[in-house]
Amino acid sequence: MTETLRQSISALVDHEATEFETRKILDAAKAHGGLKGYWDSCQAISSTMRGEFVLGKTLLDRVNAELDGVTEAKPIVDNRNETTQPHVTVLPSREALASQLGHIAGQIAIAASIAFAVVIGVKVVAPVDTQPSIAITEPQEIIKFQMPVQKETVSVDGVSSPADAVTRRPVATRRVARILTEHDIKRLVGNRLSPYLIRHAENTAVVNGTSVLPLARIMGRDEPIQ
Amino acid sequence: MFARLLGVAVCVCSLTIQSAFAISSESAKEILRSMAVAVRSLSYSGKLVYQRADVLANLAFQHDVVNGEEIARLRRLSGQPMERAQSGNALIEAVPGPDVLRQGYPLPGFINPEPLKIFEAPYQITLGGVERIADRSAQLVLVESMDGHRHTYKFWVDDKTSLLLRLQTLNAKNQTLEQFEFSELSVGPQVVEIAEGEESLQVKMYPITQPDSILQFSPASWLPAGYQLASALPSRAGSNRVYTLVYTDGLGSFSIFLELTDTRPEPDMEATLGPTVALGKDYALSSGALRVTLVGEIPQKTGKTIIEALDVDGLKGLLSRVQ
Repeated sequence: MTETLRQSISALVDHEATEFETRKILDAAKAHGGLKGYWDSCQAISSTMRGEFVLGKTLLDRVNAELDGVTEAKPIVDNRNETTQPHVTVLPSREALASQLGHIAGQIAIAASIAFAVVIGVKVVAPVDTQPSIAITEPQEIIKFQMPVQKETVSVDGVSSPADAVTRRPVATRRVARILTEHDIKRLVGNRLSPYLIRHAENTAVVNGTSVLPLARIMGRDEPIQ
Repeated sequence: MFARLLGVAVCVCSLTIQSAFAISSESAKEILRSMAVAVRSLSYSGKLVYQRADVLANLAFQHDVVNGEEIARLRRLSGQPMERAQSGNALIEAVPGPDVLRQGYPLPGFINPEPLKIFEAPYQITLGGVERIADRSAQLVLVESMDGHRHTYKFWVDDKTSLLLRLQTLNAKNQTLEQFEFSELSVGPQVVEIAEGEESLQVKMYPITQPDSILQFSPASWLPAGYQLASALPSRAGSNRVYTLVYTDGLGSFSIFLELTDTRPEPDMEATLGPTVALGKDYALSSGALRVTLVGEIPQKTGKTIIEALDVDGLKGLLSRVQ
């Protein structure tokens, strides 16, 4: 299965696939037996991030209680054998500063626990062939990948997490998580900024007369951000 | 007594400031002046290499003056053929495709008839050594940023013709952000053809437009010293009207794009491509958003400071009236 196809499936799970991408996935499903399994995996991840039923009830209670600060410490266990199906509640991403300070230490630990629990839950319910690293940042939603010095960089919301991290978008806009690869981030930033990079190069070409440089900057590639 | 002390202090300060900019070399400035004239008045052509981070482009450049009008074209020699040209009051883009001619969006024309004030911006301009570029002898001129709000440049200028043979843009750490260099150069009249050799071309013409009137406003409470407004124009991007402001200090420039959209605000976005920084920020409105995009060859920190200094309330009101 190609990376492009994986990204198209990820977009379809998030209801963001174009008609072309959807058709491409359907065609590929006919020819590729393992596609359905991967589709199921994506659905499971998406469900988890939406706070739908994936993990064991005890775990859910444990996580919520820890967030409320009312339980005594108990190790988080994997409840794969239990028949009941509780869920993970997505953390509120916007809270008053005072209340955040009150729970900040506990939340850091719990956030890490949730991240771990999500991985375990997804692995048990529906193994995926590519396991992304998991990072939950709170309260800001950040997407950025690091590149070596002199490499070109793009970022969203100014804070970084490793490539292929699972991140959530701002709750103000959408309460759904998605897996963002380096390609996704570049596409996101490229869609937003590429037209303006071209326009700026054209503006500069006009202002600087017939200089080589402004237009050379946008002729090195087919798109400014690739 | 106090007034006298104050006067002395002012004199000392002004002398210090003057000396900071007075160390620029007059002969270096003269070479830059000659270069600015040569690149616009001579007919020449050649092949050059442009490099930035992991971008490497082989390009052919041709400049001519026909009936007093400048014509310049840049053609990509690797990958998909592409050509961009500037002729008279239009920028032209040609790519292989069905033979069609389309009109593109208008580009803001240069509103300031005065020559760009490179020498008034906080640069220190000095002479370097003589080097060999494109089999020619070239004089290095170093134009160094003195305030951290612009990049540093190195120009290699042809001894015989004063044409620019090589250019490097450097950051504050003296790292090369981008560079181009002619590998061969021919001086003399040329026949300018657009996308020579292509059987069919899709051509887009972007008219360079002088605005009827310029809105007199400053979009931000702070802009770096030495930059002046070079052009401004309301235009369109899709269904949105965009107000464009272009600032330059004669070498570096940045564009600010302002628009009111009816879409949801997007997260802040940022891209750094060699010397160019692009910053996108949406401010939520009751319906839609004020979308601000800054793109320029300026340090990233300077770009962010400009964005943070934007008069958001003023811009909302202004754009509402413009639209």
